[in-house]
Amino acid sequence: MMTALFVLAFLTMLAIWFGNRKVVFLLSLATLTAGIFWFNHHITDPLKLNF
Amino acid sequence: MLLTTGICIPVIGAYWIQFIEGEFPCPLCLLQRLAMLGVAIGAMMNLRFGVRTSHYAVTIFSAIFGAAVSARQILLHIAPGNPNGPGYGSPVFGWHLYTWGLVIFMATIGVVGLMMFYEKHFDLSTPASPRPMSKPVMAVCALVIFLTAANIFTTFLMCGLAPCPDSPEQYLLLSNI
Repeated sequence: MMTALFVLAFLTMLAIWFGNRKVVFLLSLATLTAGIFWFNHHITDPLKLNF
Repeated sequence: MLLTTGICIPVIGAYWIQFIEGEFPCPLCLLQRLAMLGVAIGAMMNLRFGVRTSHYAVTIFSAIFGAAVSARQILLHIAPGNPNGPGYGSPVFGWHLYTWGLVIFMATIGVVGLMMFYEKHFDLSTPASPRPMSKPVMAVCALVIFLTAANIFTTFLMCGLAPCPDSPEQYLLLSNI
């Protein structure tokens, strides 16, 4: 799954290289959204803070 | 171009620690790498299409995401006697990589804020169409693309298509051979 996030970032960079700005925005939004989703998925350990 | 080149340094440094010192990146570490590549994407857009506030927005959103991930990882390890251990991986110059990550993401937001003060380089009279890339720009963009491809390869070796283990200790796909 984490591999897929890097694939999305890679595709975004290819879109920059080939000069398609709209695709870049769409893919970067998709990458960020997927990253936030995956970050949320990984927040399982409770924080044990002692202030 | 400085921002694009600069953000490559911590990613290369993370690879140094992964391959030379033999420490495997955790899922949160990988997410921070992804956020650094997101910062580079905004900077690359400025190089390819001209400077626009929307390109800086991509950089800022990626930096905020990366800072949130770094802060989460710092909070996991900050308390003395924490069951999660004193920290993940070896410290570099006294701080762990995720602490450096937070500093880098906050510095990125600060640098982009400063650059937005300089209004003269926002040329809104011309459309944001692709511009020819000079050789140095091509080299920097190729480096970022290469680093992203390398991350695809190593992450696939480490985790395959499944979720990555919390504390990886081997390349899962290589251990099955």
